[in-house]
Amino acid sequence: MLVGVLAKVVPEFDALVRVSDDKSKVEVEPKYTVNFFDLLALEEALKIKERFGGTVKVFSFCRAEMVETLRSAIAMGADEVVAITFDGIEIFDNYCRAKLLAEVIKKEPFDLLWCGRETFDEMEGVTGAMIAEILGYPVVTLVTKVEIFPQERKVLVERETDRGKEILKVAMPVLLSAQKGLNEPRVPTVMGLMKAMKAKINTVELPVLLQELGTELERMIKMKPISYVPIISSRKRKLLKGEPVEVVKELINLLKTEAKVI
Amino acid sequence: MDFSLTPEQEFFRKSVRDVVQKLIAPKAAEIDEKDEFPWELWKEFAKLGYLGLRYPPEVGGMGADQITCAIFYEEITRGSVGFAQSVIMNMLMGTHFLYRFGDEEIKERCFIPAIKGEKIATICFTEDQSGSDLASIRTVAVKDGDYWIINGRKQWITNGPICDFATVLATTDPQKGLKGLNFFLVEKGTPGFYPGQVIKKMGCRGTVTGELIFENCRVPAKNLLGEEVNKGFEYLGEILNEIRVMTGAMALGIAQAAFEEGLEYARKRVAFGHPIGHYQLIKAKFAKMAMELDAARLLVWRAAWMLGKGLPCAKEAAMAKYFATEACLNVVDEVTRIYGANGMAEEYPPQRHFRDARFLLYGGGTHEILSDFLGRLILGKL
Amino acid sequence: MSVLVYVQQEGGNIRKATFEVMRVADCLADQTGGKVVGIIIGDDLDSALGSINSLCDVVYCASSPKLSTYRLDLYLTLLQKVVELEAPLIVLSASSYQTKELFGALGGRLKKPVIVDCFSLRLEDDILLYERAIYGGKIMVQGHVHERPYLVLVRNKTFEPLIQGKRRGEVVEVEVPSEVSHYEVIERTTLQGTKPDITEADVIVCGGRGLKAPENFGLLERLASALGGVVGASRAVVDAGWRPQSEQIGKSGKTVSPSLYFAIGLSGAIHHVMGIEGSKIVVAINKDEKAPIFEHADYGIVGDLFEIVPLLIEEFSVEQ
Repeated sequence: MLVGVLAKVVPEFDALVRVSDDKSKVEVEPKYTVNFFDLLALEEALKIKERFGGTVKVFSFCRAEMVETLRSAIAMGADEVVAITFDGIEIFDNYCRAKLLAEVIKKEPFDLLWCGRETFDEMEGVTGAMIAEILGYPVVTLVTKVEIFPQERKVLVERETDRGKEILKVAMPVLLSAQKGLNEPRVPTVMGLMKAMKAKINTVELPVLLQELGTELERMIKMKPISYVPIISSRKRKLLKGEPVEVVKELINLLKTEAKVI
Repeated sequence: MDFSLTPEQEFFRKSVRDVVQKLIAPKAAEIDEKDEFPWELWKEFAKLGYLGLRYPPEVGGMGADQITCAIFYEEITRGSVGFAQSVIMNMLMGTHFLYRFGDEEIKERCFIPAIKGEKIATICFTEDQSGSDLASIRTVAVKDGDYWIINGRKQWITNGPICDFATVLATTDPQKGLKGLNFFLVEKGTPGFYPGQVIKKMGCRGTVTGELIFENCRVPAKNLLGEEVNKGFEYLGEILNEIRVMTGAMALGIAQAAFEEGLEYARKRVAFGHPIGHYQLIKAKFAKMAMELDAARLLVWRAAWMLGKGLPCAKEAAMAKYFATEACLNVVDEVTRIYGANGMAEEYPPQRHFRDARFLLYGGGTHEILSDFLGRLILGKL
Repeated sequence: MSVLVYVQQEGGNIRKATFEVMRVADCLADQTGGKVVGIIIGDDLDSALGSINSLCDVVYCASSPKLSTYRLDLYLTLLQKVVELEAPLIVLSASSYQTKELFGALGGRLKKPVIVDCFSLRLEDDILLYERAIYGGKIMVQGHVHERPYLVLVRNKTFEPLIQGKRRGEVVEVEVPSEVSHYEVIERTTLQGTKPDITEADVIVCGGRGLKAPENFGLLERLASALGGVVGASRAVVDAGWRPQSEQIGKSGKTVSPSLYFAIGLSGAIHHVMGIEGSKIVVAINKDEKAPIFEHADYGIVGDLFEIVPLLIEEFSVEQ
């Protein structure tokens, strides 16, 4: 089975992010990791490979300096990594990213494509469906359980919905997005690490891809960020102390009169 | 002169750190508190294959270079010192002489399982009355036909009481001093070989350290680990520098853990209206710690680099171990000061690093010995 | 010129957040002198139509048993058809799992990006200015888009709902697609009736490991019930299997913005707190005075939740 995985390199959860003084960009501490939900996607792809045989290829779109982080995918067991790389500071909107990734992925006849539910930095959750549509694949987002039937060329998936969950049957090829609860990503063995250290990551430079598409960056990016502002939450931080009965009465009073939420 | 790690080494460092932080670090406090060997964690960790890191692929290892190994020793020690000591014993001292001199059968039965984590290995030098003075050991090995009979007691043996096999330093003739030393393989179950008392330690808890007793313990002739008899001290010399570099790397791990905890604390703890990191005296502490830690790391990596290149590095390895240890002791001391009273509380890690760091003063050579050694090297024969 | 709103419904009940989007649509339509056009897809939609026909000038309605359950391909075909008919300036909906999937696919089809979880939008001439959060909610980005139609998913609980309007509500029947869906629904479990899901709830009572055992969540259920709210869960208790994934709040769970949020017996780790920043008021109950949650709460009670929560239940039940 040929399984593709879309993975994004994002800042570590505790990496410091701040808005530049002129508010025109976000300065991020260069501590990177593979996006959490994408690791779930990769893990599932690897399990499928272990069960049915085949190849797992990882695709990513990232700044040149972030490519090394993708070695973790190889350390876990991915056969190949293909990264579309760019230099520069442009921010690419979701359609742009989807189009570029689809352009590279469509070159091969994947049976299954996996991606994560959403990324930590952009927090959108739409790119998977977008890529599927561009490729002409059906898509099921928020998958929590999957069963593959290679002979029938079908998958049975359980996925989370807004108000519950459902089980769907869909024909392959299909794109699935991973939701938490799908699996526990494996810890790479040292053998995997050593393999990853020596592996070659295939890169496709953005200008080359744009040429193939016959378009320019300016025309492709449709959502343009203008400025950034830090979001600072301010809470009252009132600590109520005393006997339980008193404290409860005080809280209710505050909720009514001060906060006015009840 | 390139001071940086290669991208591959950086990737390895980050990946190992992630694994250690995920699997080992969360259990460090519990391991320290319970002071019991964490069998479950050992099995889980062994599966990942790190125990074979320094050995070549032909014998089932990973063939990692010396700097990569140093990175590993640092990161795992940073997770838990007690656990790291047991792991590294299996990776280096406890298995080296079997790899070097053991025949196929010994390799099959002991070496391979040890680097898979299926057997626990150890090496025994120290005795109650002999630490630095190896020539004075009283564990004696006498040839009897096709066997050696070993009598003696070893002390302070990491993994000792739980080991499946031990590499034992014994003398054939106390009169010969260093020229009478030999390494012997003794396996659990051999009549006359018993685990003895376990030492309760204030630090490096979780690893079982204690006594091994040899009473007319008979081992076959091939269990002499060496091409010739009485060359034990020479053979030890083959890995002495590596042991010192490894210990230096462990010192970096403890120091780095303490340093980063101190940093976070200084940024958050408020006194007189400011985080304490705001004040000059605290800033000065961090400046000094950072410099020492940086210098220590460079010394350790330089010695590792020289080891890797096969360059003689007795001086550099001794310096690395000595300096990294002193830097580490300073860092753990300063961090407990920065924590104030919380530096005493079991709830916070700095006190554990403080207790753990003391082993560095004798592991890989005491500082008095190393100081004397370096001094003699530098001044030459007078 | 139209402002098109996709109305998400289930079992004939319109998703609450849609009415907040109607407010936005109303403003934009007034500003541009255009119409508010709704599209609703499902089965047995009479009651639903009744709720929205004063809010829309036109409502496209595709109603059939074939459409009673959401299926991406069928719904997308209908949505695309209406987009072609109306050539709207903007297509709006309330952010949800369903609309993210649907609009993602729509964006792929129309070759347009989607603005997700937008909490502010403004039209200046023909350019749409938007604001949304990134990096786990730490940073807000302001940007613009200038190719119609704009595809926008509005963040829940940001705008005041518009329940009653003055528009005509002309219903236009849309033909049901003839093709068979690629998605075969084998089984579906869903919250019944109008019970709010966690992202719609006004009051959330969230519990963590401090509850000590899954049975003790019954306490929180009673408190939630007394307040007309729902129960939420920290990652730790979901991972332990005490509560379902759908209740998890935080970085790998859901982001919520209720009026009142109780954080009970949970420490307040960053990955959890990220999901509650939009709450109007946060109340924390924890016996550890140093728990980080108190830094992110408006009111904090340091005490034993097993003493405090029953007292709260009593007080709120009396209120009722």
